[in-house]
Amino acid sequence: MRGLLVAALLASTVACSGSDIDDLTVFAASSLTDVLPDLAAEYENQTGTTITTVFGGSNHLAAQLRDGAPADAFLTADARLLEQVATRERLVRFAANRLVVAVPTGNPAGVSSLADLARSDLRVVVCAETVPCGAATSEMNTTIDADSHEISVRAVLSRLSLGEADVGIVYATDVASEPGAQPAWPQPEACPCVTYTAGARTYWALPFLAFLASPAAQEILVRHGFATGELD
Amino acid sequence: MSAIHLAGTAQAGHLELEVDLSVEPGETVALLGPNGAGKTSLLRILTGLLPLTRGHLDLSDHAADVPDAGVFVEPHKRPIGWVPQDRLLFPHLTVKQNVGFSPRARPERVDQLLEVLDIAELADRRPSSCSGGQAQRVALARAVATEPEVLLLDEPSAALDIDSRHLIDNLLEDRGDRATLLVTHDPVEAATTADRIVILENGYVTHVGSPVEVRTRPRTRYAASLAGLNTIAAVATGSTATTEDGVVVVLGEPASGPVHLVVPPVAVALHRTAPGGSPRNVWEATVAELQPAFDRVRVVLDGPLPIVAEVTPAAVEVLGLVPGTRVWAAVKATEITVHPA
Amino acid sequence: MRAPRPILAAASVAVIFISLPVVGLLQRTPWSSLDELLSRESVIQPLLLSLLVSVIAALVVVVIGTPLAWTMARVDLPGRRIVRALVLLPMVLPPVVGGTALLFALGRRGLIGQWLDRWFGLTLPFTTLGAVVAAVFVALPFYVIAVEGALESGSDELEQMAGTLGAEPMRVLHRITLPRLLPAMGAGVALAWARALGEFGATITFAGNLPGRTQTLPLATFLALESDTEEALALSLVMLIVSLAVLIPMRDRWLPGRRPDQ
Repeated sequence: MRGLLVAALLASTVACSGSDIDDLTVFAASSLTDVLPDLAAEYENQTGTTITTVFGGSNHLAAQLRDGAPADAFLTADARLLEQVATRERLVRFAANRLVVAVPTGNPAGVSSLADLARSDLRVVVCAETVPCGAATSEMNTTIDADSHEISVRAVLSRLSLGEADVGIVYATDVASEPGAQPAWPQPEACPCVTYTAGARTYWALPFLAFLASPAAQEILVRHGFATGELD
Repeated sequence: MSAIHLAGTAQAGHLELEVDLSVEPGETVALLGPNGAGKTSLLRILTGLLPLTRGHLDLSDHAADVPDAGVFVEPHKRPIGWVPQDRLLFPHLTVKQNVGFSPRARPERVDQLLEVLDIAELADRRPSSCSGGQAQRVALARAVATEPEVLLLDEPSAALDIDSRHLIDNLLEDRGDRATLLVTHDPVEAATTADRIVILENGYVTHVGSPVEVRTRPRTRYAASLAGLNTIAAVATGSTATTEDGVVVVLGEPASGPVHLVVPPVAVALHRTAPGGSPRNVWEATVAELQPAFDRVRVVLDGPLPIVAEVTPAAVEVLGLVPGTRVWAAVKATEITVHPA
Repeated sequence: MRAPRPILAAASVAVIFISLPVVGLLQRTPWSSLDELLSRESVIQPLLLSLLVSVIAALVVVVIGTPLAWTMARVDLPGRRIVRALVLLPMVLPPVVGGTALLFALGRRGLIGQWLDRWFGLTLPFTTLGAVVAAVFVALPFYVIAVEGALESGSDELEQMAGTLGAEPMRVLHRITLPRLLPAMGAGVALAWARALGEFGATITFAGNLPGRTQTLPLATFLALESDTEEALALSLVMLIVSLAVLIPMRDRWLPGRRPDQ
């Protein structure tokens, strides 16, 4: 709520001064790979500013930013990183992603409950703890007998879609966008989940941050399976 | 029964070999020829490392290489022992292991050979620590240890010390039924060790005969040079021939076209003043070098027609020949043998 | 031989270029806490697993690579150029691409992998054996090239000689070819082993990442970089030491291209 208020204030200031720049560089967590192009298109529609996106594991992007990579904004699920990377004071939390227990399409191993995650005869794949998705996974109160800790959520997803893993824990958005994987069972809209925060490093990124909190952006995010609304 | 019977053709790089050769058991044949004539390639045909393209090769009366019949006996099945020019000793094995390498080599024979060739103390050493002469003996012992029916030697005495030569010669004399084919540059060695000489030039056999025959009646320029005879390149037009340097030589027999003129050194007479009389080939020369050899002296002459004369030591004294002396050399036309080039 | 100045200067630049990252690493190493770091399970486990995987991979490489190198060098193959290109492919292919390709071939739903799973119940991904397979895939070319190069450049005249002495082909191979090939094989194995030890992309893509089973030293280092820099440095140091411990004793004698002592 607070975030939305801040965003509204920002939006008002920016709307008056207009956009001074043609292109923004945005570093974003790889789980935003599918939604960001749509957001960027809408932003360009509205303001004429194009967005160049660089996707990657949040930790790596943060490392590059610390070394001085010239990005205007950083979108990540790990808010702590934003503290380490010099950003302007106002941060915008604009979306959230739920974790979902997923299986290859058709659920060939017949996974039906959380207890299956502990089975040693199934190939279980999760994110490594060092990535936000993995950190969130470890907060789940379940025993998981993992066969691999992948370094990105996309890697987990590809294991599922290739049929190499029987069950994995990924983001809801990934399941939505990947035809090769599906949720193991209809899962409730509950957390643990990850929240995406955007930080601006330059002045010109501020309008973009405001845009992220705007109804137009929120609608795109929801369409891709992200959760919006109450983000505290 | 013949040890080697070869009548075939092979291709060695750019050189085509066409050879007809027979060697009897117990015979030693020397193979002579200029560089690049194909001597080593001929040995390779016999070992099986160079296949024939046409014809046939029999070893000990068994077909070894008959391309048209699809017969080819692998090297390791042939009854041959080969000592190549560069010996090819196995560097990572000791001398004794080298000599005894062949599955056909009996241990007693190996020990015997080491003794006979005086290399027994080297038994546990590596080839790299052997001298040239020692290495040559090791290579020979290795080949002989296989009890071959045919022994092929490529330049066995090149650059060897006297002791090694003696030991090797002794071993080679003890041959039994073994046929030996020996490639050499040294006509003296060929003459002293071989029963027959085969001359190979440009892939073809140009002369087969006993050492005496080859020496006295050489059929090619190379053979002549082996025998220590002078050969002069010239272009003949009837009764005379002109050398490259423009010297006109009167011939004893008419000829035409490019020729080689063979002049025995003993037929070159030397005079301190221009001679008169019958010899029609007379020209000036300067003594370049004197090569004394027991009962005669070879006088190497420089001039428009470089030639070697052979005179007695007494003649040298009487004529007062020293390097630099100006002389007149004379050769009778009848002493000149003409070979088409 | 005294080297001319410009050559020495250029060589110095190369040496500096290569040693700078190493110096940088050593300079940031937490020497005081090294004791504790090196005794951690999270450092020892990947080290032992890496040694196991790389050594087994090196052995497999020798067993399948030697006949391959010999065939490529000595046999008149019709598709020789294609075979050589294939053998070199893992060297050129980005390791992750290699790992993905291995998945398509040997994964549980892979071309061959599915039969391995159905008939023998054998799956390679997520297993230590899978890590070995990934390591063999990337390391094999290094060995084959070293050995094939030695066979090509050294002539086969000694083998021919051995043949004329009555030794049949297997005996020649055993008593002449292989003994003389040992230095090149040694160099090839060292290179292949070093490559296998450092393999990351193919391992993580094909075999996955699980401590104790597939988390080799490079994987552990990569992950540690994101969470515990000190541990990452310790792991990097371990890799550096292990690699140098093998490469330095090799010296000149074992690198391909140098002739063995006659």
